[in-house]
Amino acid sequence: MATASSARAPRLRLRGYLGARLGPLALLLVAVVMISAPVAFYVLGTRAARVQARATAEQFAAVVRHEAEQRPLLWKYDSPKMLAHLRTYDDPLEHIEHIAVIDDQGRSIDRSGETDYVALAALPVVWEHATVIVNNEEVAAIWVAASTAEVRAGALRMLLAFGLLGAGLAGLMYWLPLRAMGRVEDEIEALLGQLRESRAALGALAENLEQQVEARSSDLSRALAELKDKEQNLRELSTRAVSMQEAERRAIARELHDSAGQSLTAIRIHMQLIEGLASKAGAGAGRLAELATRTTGMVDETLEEIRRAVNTLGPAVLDDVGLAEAIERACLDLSERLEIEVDCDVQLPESGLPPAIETSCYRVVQETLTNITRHAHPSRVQVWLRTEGGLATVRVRDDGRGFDPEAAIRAGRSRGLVGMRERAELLGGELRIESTPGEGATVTAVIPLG
Amino acid sequence: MGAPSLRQEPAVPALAGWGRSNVLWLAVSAIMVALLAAATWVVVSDADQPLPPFLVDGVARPAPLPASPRTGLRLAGSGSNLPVTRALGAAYSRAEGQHAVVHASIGSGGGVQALLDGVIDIALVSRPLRDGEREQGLVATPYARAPVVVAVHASVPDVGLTRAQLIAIYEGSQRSWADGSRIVVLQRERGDSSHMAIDRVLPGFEAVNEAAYRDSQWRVLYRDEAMREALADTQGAIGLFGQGTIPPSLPIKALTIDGVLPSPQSVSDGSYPFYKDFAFVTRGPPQGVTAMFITFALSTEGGRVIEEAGAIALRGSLPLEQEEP
Repeated sequence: MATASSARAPRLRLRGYLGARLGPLALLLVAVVMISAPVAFYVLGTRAARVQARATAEQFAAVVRHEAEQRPLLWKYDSPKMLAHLRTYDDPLEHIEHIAVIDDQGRSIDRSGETDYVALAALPVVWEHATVIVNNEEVAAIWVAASTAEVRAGALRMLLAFGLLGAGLAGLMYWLPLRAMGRVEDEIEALLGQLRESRAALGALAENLEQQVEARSSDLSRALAELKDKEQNLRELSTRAVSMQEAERRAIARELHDSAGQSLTAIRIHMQLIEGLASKAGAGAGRLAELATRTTGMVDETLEEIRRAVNTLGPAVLDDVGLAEAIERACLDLSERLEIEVDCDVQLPESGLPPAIETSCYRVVQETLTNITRHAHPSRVQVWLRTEGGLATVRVRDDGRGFDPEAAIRAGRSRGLVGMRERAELLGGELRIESTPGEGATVTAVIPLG
Repeated sequence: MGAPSLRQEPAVPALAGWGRSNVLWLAVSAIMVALLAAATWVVVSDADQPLPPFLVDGVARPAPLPASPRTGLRLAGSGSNLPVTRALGAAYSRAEGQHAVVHASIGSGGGVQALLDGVIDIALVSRPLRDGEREQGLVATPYARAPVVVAVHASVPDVGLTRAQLIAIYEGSQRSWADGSRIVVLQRERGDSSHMAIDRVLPGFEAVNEAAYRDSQWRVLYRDEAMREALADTQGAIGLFGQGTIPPSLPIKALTIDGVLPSPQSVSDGSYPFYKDFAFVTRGPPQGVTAMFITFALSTEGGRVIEEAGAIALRGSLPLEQEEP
């Protein structure tokens, strides 16, 4: 399996890459080695031949100078013998191809006539010369040709030898790194093969893991859905409980208002009548009048307590005039009490709101306005209520002193705020309080309708 | 941008920059061309050198200079001629009141060239004129004949050689004298008139000498004076002496050839085989003072002087052509 995948996998081609760069360099090495040494040999050999020719010319010039000093007229006619003599006895002259003595008229004094100048000009030689000066006059020049044939042959041999040497060196320079790179490439290929196998195993593992994660995610999604259903059910249950609680409380309040309240009112009227009769009855009746007065006071207190209880158990005003009118009355009441401007903007659906939500909205407005009356000292208050997107949103904003909501809740100074929040959350909603000391406050309750 | 997926095969490095190998080839090619150019320049500049004028201007030599007029005669040439010619010059000066300056040896060829260049009036040669020299209008006038002496150092016990022994000695096959002492052969250079005189009458002598030249077998001397001094100073030495008679003051002695001692008489009667003729060479037939000197040399008085100098006088009339022996 791994072998098949590695066979399909692209190769690194490190050897080809290195070879493409070493090739030109190897060729350059061949050229440098092959050319430099033979050229150096040729140049040095030629210069050595030139030095030899120069030395020979100087040597001959010294002899010729001596002859010219001794025989100023006829020296050049005897020089051929002298030169032949010197040529014979000077062994190093084996590399001297030709020696010519040129007189002051530019003529060679060689009379043999055997010199083939055409052949001489074609020979591989270097020429050097030395002048013969007698009495400050140049009487002759010695020209010596040293052969460079051996130097040329040697340079050609070196060209061949160093060409082979350069080829060998270039081959080593090319082959050794290439072989090493080949080994490295093989090792890398092996490592890559192992890496591919590991990657395949890891991929399989990852695939299994993903399947598990997918299964777990499905389980979690299902659990979440169930949790949401339960939450919805709980919210509905809570809403229903709140509604039932509100209905119960309203029933109790109505009962108190309709029965105990009416009875106590009748008792109070009767006590007022008794008090009037007692004041007209004389001295013995004074005691009765006083008693009737005290009883009337007790009835008033009881009526007040019943009124507060009724108000606490359930805002009867909602049943009387509805939420919108109740909120407008509260606003009007606040405006009159604090003598400030209060904007009231309430828009409700024609079908109205569920009783529990209606009560909660009213309670939020009522509690907030109470807090404003007690603490805020505002110059303007806005009350706003809308039902949009399945939510009922009620917002009360003032420009009063403001406060730190969290601090107030932590310090337990605002049981009303806590109550509002609990009421909203019981209905699946939330309560947001935005306020900064000195910059007013905004209380917003958002309660789902469904 | 994201992390590589495990399901994707990781990309193998593409080794970008393959295109740069072309640049590398170009650079290498440029360097190689520069290298070749530099090597060529080095070789060519090293070969660039001044050439001698005879290669630049050709080998044509200028025409011979005309003989410049001067007082007295100038004679120069073969060293073999010098003793006889100097004696003639001295006698001529005494007889005619004219100066005749006989210069030191410059060889027969040097004398001919000096004559052609107009440096001297009469060239002294001890060999026949070559064809090329005759073609240039030179005229030879023989005036004396002298034996070519096979001379040895005085220490040599032998008194004579046969012709075969002479060849054997110069060949190197005979290496010692009669007393066992080593033979030291002294050669004159190629073309020497003494060697040529023997070559003409002794077959095989030229060949062994040529072989000796080729192998540098023997010492080669280039002048009569050098030969004379070498013979005098070298134990067991043998060499050719071309001036006729050997000065008695030198430790040199003449050997007999086939039992005949070299002398004017033995040459005249033909019993001694090795001799050479001395000749005056002039540009054209002798004229003026040149003719006067040669006429004196060929006169009876001149002949007497020649014979007193140890040579045989060749009397004749002007102009005379050199006769091949």
